[in-house]
Amino acid sequence: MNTKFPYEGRIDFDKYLDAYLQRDDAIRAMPTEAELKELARKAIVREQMVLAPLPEGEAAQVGDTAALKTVSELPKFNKERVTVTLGRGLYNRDLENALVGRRVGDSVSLTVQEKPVTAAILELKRKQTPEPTDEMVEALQAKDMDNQPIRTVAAYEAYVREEKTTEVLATVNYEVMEKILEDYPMTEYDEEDIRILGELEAEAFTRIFLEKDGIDLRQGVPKEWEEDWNVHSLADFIAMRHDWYQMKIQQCLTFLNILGLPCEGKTDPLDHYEVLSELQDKMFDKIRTELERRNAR
Amino acid sequence: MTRFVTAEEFDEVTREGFWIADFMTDHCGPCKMLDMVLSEIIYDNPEINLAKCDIEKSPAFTERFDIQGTPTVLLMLDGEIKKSFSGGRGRDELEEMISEAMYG
Repeated sequence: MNTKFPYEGRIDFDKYLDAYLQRDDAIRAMPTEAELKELARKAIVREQMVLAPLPEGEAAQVGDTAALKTVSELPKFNKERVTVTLGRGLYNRDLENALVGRRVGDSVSLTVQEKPVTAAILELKRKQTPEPTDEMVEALQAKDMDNQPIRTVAAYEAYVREEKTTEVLATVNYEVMEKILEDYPMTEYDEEDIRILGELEAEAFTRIFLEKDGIDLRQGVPKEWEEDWNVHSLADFIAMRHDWYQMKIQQCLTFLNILGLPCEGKTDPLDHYEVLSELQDKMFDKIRTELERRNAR
Repeated sequence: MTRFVTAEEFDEVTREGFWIADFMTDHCGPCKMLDMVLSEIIYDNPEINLAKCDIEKSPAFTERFDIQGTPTVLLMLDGEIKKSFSGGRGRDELEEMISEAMYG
C-alpha cells in the first residue's frame, strides 16, 4: 500500500479503552455463560408462557403481572384498569415496588410528581414457563447468521452465545475506535490504493451476487441500486464508494498500528477484499482479552 | 405472547392490548439482534405482545406501512400506532419508548 499512516506507534489503545470503561453506559465485561443460557431460555420459552392467577391470599412478587385501578390527578395514574409487571419499571418503579408483597384487594398510596396516587390491586397473575425443548426451538423458526435453521436447544444456545458476544465486542470496538479515528484523522490517500480497493470490491460483489442471487453485476445492477443510489453500472457504484475506500484504508492502517502488525502480505488491504473484517476480528480478540484482564484484577 | 402474523390477520391480532409489531426478514442481521432484545423484554413483561411480521412472506406489509428497511418496529396500543422506528435499539432505549407508548 502506498498510503502512509502518519501516526506510527502513537496510538495508546489502552488509554482510549479505559476512558470508554469510565462511561456510565459502558459495557465492562463479556456476558457470562449463565447469562447467555438465561437469554437463550427466555427466547425459547417466550411463546409457551402462561399467566396463571395467583391463589387467593398469596402476596405479589417482582415479575408478577397486576391489574390495577389507579386514582390521581395525573392522567397516567387515573385509570379504571391498567396492567403492569411489578418491579420492571415500565409504569412507575416506586409504585410497582410498593405493590410487591400486597394481595388482591389491597391498596397503596404514594406521591408521584408531588401528586397523591392510589392504586388498588384488582388481579394478580404469575408467569409459568416450561423447560426449553428442541420442539420449542423448531417452532421458533429461527435461523442463524448463516441463515441455517436452528433446531435444538444446544444449537440455539450456541447461536445466542455467538450473537451476544459479537454484539458486545462490536459495541466496545465501535465506541473506542470512533474516538481514536476522530483524534487521529487522515487526509492524504494514494489514488492507486483506492483504485485497487474498488477493483477488489467489484470482484467480490460480482462473485457474491452471482452465487447468492444469480445476478451478473457486469451485465447490469439491480433496480434498487438505480432507485436508491442513482447508479446504472458496477463502475458507477465503485466510483460512488470512493469515500468509503478512504475510510477503509484509515481503519485498516489504524487497526494494524494498534495490533502491532505490518501492512504486508495477508494483512495488506490491497491483498484481498476481506482484510478489514479479518483485522476487525483480531481487534475483537484484543478487546475480549483486555476486558477479561481488567476484570481479573 | 409472541406470534407470527400475516398481513391479512394483522389488524385482528393487534386490535387489543399492547403489541410490538416487528417487520423483519429471515436473513437480516440487525433483525436477529433486535429479536434477542425484544424476547427478553417480552419474557420479563408478559403483558406486552410481539407480532413477528416477515415482509418477504407477507409483502403487503411493505406498502401498507411504508417500510423502507428492516427491522422496522411499530408500538401499538389497542390497534393504534403510538410510535415507530427503524434499525436496532438497546434494551434501555426500547423500554423507555415502550413505557411512553403503553402508559403515556
